[in-house]
Amino acid sequence: MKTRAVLIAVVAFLGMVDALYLSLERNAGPIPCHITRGCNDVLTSRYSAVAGIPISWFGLAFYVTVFSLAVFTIFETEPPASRPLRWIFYLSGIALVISALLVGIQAFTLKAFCEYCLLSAALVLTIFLLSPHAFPRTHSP
Amino acid sequence: MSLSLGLLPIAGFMQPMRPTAYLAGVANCYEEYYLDETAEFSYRVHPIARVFLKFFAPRRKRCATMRGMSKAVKPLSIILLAVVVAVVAAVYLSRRPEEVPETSAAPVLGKGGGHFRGPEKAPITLVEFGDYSCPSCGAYHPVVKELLNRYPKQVRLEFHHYPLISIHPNAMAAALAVEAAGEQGRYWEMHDLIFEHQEEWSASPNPEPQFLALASRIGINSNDFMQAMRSPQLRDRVLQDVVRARDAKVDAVPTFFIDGERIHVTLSVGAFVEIIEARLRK
Repeated sequence: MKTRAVLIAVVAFLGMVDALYLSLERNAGPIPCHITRGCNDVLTSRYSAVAGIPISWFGLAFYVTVFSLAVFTIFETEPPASRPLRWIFYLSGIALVISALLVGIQAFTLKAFCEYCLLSAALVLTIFLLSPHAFPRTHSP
Repeated sequence: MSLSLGLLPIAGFMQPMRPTAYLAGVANCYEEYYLDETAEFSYRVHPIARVFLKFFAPRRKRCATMRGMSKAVKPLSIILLAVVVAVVAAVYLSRRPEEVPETSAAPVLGKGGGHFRGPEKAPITLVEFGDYSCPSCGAYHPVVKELLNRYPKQVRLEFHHYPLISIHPNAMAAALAVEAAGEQGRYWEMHDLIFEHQEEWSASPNPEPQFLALASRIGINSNDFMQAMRSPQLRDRVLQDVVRARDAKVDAVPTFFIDGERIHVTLSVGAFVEIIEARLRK
């Protein structure tokens, strides 16, 4: 359980750096892509912000929350230690649906990909896949 | 941990105790009856913890809450440290080469080759490499126009095509449409119209009728326009701009240069004004 929490914390930390980088770059002018083409198109499109707040800020809030929950799981000494991981499971499930929508918008509406956004989607998927093990296994009698 | 150590000198009269215990006031709670001694309690716990406990913890559960807070200090310190490290890493990754001017190998753009807007003898030439299909170029367009209105005598715009045809299938046709309008002396009018109506034609399977409609709106002869759009000379002119863009190591659109030097600027008139004012003061 704690090994998984450590892995989730590491992935969430990478997500924090990615989301912060995107937030900083978004305010610093045109954004160069290194692998894909179209970072600028994605990050300046009308889908890149909700109510004027850049999506990267929501991503940052998600990663900080997940990182915090994972760290609390690592330091938890009393049962049930799995409670924060369950929250990670629910949160990353919601984030995964949103990430899938955003990747869909990149692929079908904007027809441009932003590598940093794709990395974020991959990190969300990794967190989601790591978190279900928080649930206790049921054994049949 | 460092936070709690930093707060230690605030209450110099306190007897020495573990910083985490001090921060959460755990040391005060080894005897339950202390909970009724409000004065003792308030002197022995850190002010921040006291405020928290007063408003959020029921009196009978203050000891347990304080122990919980003490346990939370270590993870909270790690979270705080991780956020700080992430900020430093993100700032490091997002640094621009231009921020180190002496050692920078920033590409420098030669003069000429594009279409000009503004006075010939303007002290500042703003060069833009743009793609008519790119939404961010469309977003920068009103900003650049506002800038030219604000500095009618000081700033001159030089526009170069950089159609990213791999992701914008109509970008080349749009560049040709503007060049074709330029053949009839209406380059900038068409340039503005194409940007302003970007959403209408950029996803169209055949944008030519839309370009033709826009061209006729500014009094362009339709036959000459359509003929010019198919002209290999105009295509070569656009491709020459693409070569210029690659020579100048343009890796995103729009990319701006001022007097040959690449600038990174946010989507606001103020950001451009700041750079231009600094240049004018030189």
